[in-house]
Amino acid sequence: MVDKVLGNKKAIVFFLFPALVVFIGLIIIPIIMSTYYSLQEWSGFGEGTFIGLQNYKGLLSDPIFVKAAVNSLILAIASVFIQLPISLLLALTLAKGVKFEKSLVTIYFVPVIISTVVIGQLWMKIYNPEYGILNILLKAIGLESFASEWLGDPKRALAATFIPIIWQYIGYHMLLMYAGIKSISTDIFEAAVIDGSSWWNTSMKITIPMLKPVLNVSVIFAVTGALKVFDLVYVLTGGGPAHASEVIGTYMVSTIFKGNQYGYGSAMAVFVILECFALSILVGLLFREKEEAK
Amino acid sequence: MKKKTVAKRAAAFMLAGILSVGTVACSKNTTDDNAAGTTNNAGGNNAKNVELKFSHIWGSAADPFTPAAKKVIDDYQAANPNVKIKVDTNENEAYKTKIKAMAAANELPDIFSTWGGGFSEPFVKSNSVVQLDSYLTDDLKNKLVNGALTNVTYDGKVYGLPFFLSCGALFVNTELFENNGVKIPTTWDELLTAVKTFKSKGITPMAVSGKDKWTIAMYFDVIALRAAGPEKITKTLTKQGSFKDPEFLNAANRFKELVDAGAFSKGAAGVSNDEAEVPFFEGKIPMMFKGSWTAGKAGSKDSKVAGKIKAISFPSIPDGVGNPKQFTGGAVDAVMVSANSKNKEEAIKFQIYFAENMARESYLSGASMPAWKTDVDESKLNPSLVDVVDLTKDAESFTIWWDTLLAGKDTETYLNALQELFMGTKTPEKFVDSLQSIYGK
Repeated sequence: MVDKVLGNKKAIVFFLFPALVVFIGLIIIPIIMSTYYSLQEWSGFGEGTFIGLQNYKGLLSDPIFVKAAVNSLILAIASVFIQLPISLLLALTLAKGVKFEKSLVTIYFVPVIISTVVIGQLWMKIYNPEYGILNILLKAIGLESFASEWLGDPKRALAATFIPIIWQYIGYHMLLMYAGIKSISTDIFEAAVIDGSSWWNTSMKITIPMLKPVLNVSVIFAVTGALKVFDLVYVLTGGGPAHASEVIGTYMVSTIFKGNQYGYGSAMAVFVILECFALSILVGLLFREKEEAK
Repeated sequence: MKKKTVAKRAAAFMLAGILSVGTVACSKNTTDDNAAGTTNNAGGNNAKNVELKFSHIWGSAADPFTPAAKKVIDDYQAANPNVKIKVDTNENEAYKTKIKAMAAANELPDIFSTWGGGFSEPFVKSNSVVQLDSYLTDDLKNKLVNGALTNVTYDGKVYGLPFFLSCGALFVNTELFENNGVKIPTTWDELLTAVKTFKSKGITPMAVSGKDKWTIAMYFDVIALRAAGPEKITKTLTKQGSFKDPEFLNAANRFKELVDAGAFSKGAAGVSNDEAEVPFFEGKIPMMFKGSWTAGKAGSKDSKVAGKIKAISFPSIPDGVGNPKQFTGGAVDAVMVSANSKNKEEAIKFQIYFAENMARESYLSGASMPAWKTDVDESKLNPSLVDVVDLTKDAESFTIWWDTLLAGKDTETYLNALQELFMGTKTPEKFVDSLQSIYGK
């Protein structure tokens, strides 16, 4: 029955059509529109003037944009090399079978569900220079010299903004990997135990290699998510102080909505789309090369 | 309550009458209608039910304008039962983004609160808002205080109606000044002395939020006004002068002097306006330069500093041509009607009503000074507000805030450069250069 349906071209088209319409309407058309706007000098009101690739030239010579792009990349790198290893370690530990396994999975996942604005407010209170728990804690253990105005100091604002972002999505990637580990056949683990393989050895030699597809997805999500990041930065610092924590998302919003430069902002949007696309392909290639190297 | 239902019923019945379904009208309602006929002053033909969408910024419980706005809207609906007003509110900064997005998408609500000067310029240029000149009778114009329409007039035509007069003032906590033996400053030197004295006692002298940059601009705007005087400021901001003139460098240097003296808390750059104001309203910070609406907050019922806050004018600065009788501010907040509104006439009727009554109600509630001539009993008013009104009684001029007068992109240039001057990452010279870049290459 199922084979029959799948063999029927008409049926395939029929069932895929609604999804295709949604995909084109919500993703493809907006991308085309953004590209169209990005070739114009347009304030968002009335008519724009066509200026070709001027906006893109402007981007590359705009020091704030370059800084924002670099900051976004720093976040992407930090996500891959700090966030994902923590998630993986948690997933491996939980999947090994610890007490309260299910509750712990839920607890680690909570930050993902909570509204970003709430998380932002929470961390703002943690960082507050006057009554923030972080400075109070530092003073209490005699490290007063380390206390600072975390979000107000251009040297620290970037790190202070990225820590909550990385923390928030640890649970998300952990859940992906945890589910991945759980779906690996238990026979393999049993065989490993019988052969006297330690947990660490099993993780390194069996679990992680078998998790490759999940890790691939996680890395792509982490990288593209980092490039598109906006909400927490907006809440915590708004990209400040003095552009220290500016990322492409916040700079784009202030360009479009505060600076009334729709065309220029759209060029940034297109840049992010292309960047995500390129990096996704790159990550995919890296994973495939490793596969072939084996 | 009962009156409302009667009025509603009457309106419904009239509608039924218009639709000429008289044949089915039941006799019991007729008597109701006659009884209610007096409460419903709308003529049979005008009683078309309309719904007006109204977006504005007075929604938070802490905002002293919130009850005033609610009262005016409710009163209007009670007097015009055929009009239903659907209100949608957002916080100030989020609202700015939202209303611009709505304008860009041609989805502006029938009537919305906005700001005059550069902020609304794109709306006017793209013909998104209704031009009001044909609706403004001389009677109406005479009700407005002088210069109230300045910031909503574009190319000689009026596009919005203002209701508040806001002006910047230095709000000082008299109790803190007394307890610490500090003189309330009348000169620049006294101000610096006050700052240093408080600082030495471990008290942050002035409240500011470096994250919400407009609060820094409050301070800089007034210092620039003292340095250059109103004519020069307006001329330079409207691109008929030069920021390279020495007055602006003097202003930047004085501002830096204030920062270097330790006027602001070190962490100010990472703190939002709401957070930055808290210590001032808790009586922990002695000074804050802000708009006159601060008086409303300071004098509100549950304020911890009620009766302790006095408004004074910012002192003159050395080598400055301005004087303390010149104020920053003016009538900026306004309501405009969307050009795409399906019920334009009704919306304009409500717009005029709202502007005039909002002016009175918010004055009565002690939130702000009115841009309309109102007769209210001043003895019952919030004393901090009366302070501001007294301050401005002999005002020579009001100069609009820079971030209101400048258009979007230029505002960003100014505020970003100012934030860097505040943080110390830009020198006063570099700051002036950045300002000059507004003039284009």
